[in-house]
Amino acid sequence: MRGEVRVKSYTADPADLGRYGALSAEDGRRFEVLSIRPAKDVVVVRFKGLDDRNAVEALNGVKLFVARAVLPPPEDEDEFLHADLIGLRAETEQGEELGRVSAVHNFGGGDMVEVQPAKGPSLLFAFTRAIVPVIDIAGGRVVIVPPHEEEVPGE
Amino acid sequence: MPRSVWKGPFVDGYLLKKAEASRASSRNDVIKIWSRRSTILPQFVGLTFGVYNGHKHVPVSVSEEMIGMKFGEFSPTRTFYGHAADKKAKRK
Repeated sequence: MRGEVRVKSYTADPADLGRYGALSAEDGRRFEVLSIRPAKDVVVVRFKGLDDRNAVEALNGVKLFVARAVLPPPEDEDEFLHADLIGLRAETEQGEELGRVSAVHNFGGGDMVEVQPAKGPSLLFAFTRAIVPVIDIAGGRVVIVPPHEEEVPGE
Repeated sequence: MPRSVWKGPFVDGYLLKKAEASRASSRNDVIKIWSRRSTILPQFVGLTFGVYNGHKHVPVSVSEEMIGMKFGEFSPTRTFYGHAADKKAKRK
């Protein structure tokens, strides 16, 4: 009734959605966040100029974005934005292409990069200096040294 | 009902042997395991395991705060890709 909308936020801290200025929609419209509060697995947001239920109902299903340039730069040389890593060409030390970085995960056991080869299933590599020694964002590539894998057969 | 304390934590025996051998060799290998049910013990800290999730081996670098948890907890069987947004990754 008050023109608040539920937004699914993908930022590291969901409440950071309002930190990066106006949000853009795919059709070019821009939305300025007036207030934001967390609620279960979403955030409840009030946008500037949208004060009643009918006005915000038209936003149902709209995807909102922020520009890469608005995001703060990483704090140290070993910290990287997922957005910068995804899409880089992954290659071995000899220059052989392994694939493209398709995702960065952290399931609690450390950061890892997922590399999608041209064919076949994706590969997972721990995001360490030993395995990913070179990250050249300007050159659009990462060098991966696949670790030696030892198998422990099951029971 | 929780597991009886007198039994001690459950770990597959072959895993313990392999971890000891890997620690002795001091090489930076990934130990591929299928045993998601094994408890993470203090002697595994610093090692990297590839824990099978039904599709692939997920690299898990064991740290001190993971002791007492099971390997399977760090290798989800379903992956939600989501969006990069402002998330950051730290290279160790």
